[in-house]
Amino acid sequence: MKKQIKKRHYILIALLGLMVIGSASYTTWNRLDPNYTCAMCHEVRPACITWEGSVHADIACTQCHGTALESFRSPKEKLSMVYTHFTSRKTFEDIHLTEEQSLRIAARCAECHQAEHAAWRSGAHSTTYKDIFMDVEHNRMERPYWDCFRCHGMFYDGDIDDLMSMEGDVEKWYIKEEKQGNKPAMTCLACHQGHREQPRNIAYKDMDELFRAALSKKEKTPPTSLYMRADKRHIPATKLVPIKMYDGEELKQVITDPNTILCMQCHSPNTARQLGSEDDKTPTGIYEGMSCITCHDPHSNLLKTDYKNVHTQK
Amino acid sequence: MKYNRRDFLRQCIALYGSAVLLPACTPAGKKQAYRSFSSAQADCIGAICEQIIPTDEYPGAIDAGVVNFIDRQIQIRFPEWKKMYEDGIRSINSYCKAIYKKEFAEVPWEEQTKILMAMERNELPEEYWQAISQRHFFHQVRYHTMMGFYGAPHHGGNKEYVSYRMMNLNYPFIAGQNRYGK
Repeated sequence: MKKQIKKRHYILIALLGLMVIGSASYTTWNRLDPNYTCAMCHEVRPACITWEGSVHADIACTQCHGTALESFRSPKEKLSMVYTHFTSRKTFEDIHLTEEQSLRIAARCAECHQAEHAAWRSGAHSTTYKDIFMDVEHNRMERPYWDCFRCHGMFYDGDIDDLMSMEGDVEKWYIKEEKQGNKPAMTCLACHQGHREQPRNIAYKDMDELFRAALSKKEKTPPTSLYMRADKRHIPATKLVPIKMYDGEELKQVITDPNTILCMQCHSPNTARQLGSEDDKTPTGIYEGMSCITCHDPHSNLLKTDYKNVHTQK
Repeated sequence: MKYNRRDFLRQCIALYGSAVLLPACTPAGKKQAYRSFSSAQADCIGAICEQIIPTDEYPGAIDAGVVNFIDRQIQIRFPEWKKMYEDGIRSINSYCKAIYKKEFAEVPWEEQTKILMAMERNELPEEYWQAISQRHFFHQVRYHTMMGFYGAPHHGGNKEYVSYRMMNLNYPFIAGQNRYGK
């Protein structure tokens, strides 16, 4: 009897030891420079390189992405990742964020960018799937289809038939999962890329004379990018092609401000690029050529001041 | 040699600590950036691709990720390309070493252009091209460069849609709601 208890104690001590060692290893691994941990795997190496050139370079991977245990769903999922890694059948280009991951990251963005998050929550950009897809009047005009996700639900992991049932009269249509219906359809990552290459801010006291002299002439690179659902990747707003707009046959001036071009990706005209058509909000009249964010807060979409007759109505 | 328990535990802890910190011993600059190419091979392919699509007001083949595209295709789709690339790189580098005492990637730009023009016409000395036809290699690299530069970015090239932007392509396609009910 005495011998049995002793044996059990040894097993218990060994198990406790393993747990301590395991936890210590896991914590150390998560705190080390990603160049020596996560980015050792070729799959995420390009992401690590872009992260190093971003304004978020002093924030650890785990602060935005969480740790492997935080995102643990099933042993099968993790084993499949290990298998994929060792069979080398996937590369960085094949790795995409799921909607769940994008929402989790957005929640972490809010921890630092509180003012922007509060503005986003107070405006229409935080609208939910239910608001968008259960709009009966709109559904009468246009039946929801896959391309709606281009702007509403960029990270949605399915197609329109996975999201909602469209059997029978439009009044009877419904979102299949109530939880999904309450999720925001446009999150931070719709217009921002955490790894976006961006010059880091330098404190004025640390700038040399030349830098200070050129300061008023420097242009700030907009910290915006468009998430393109079709390609499952971001494109920086500065790399978007400017859009020509027409009023009838007449070519109108549209600012080349990257943020405005970004807004126009979703607040879009018809294919003939006619002012005031469809969702177009291009400033016209005396406001022609102005940037959207001159008047609108980009997160809440609310007006900064009282402007009138800015947009052509058709 | 006899071990006591204390020494054994001490060595276990040292071994564990070393294992955890082992990755940190790899110099950051020495990391393998590509899966199918060594750094030297990637430099050579990059130099050829950059000759085919050089940087002007738009990024060239290297900055557009063409080498990454070729590397990725070899890794996941077309492993048969690997031998062709290895033979071609070895051949062009052996020629350059014999003539210029340098590898192709280190040869001056104008000379690189002349070498590739000669390769395209099958005019480089045949003794360096026993394993692969120089013209075939040139055409394959040119073809793959075009694919990488003009293809969709999810294949690994055309970084940030550089070629679409260069061609002023209407991409991403934008269109408002149809509102066909109105």
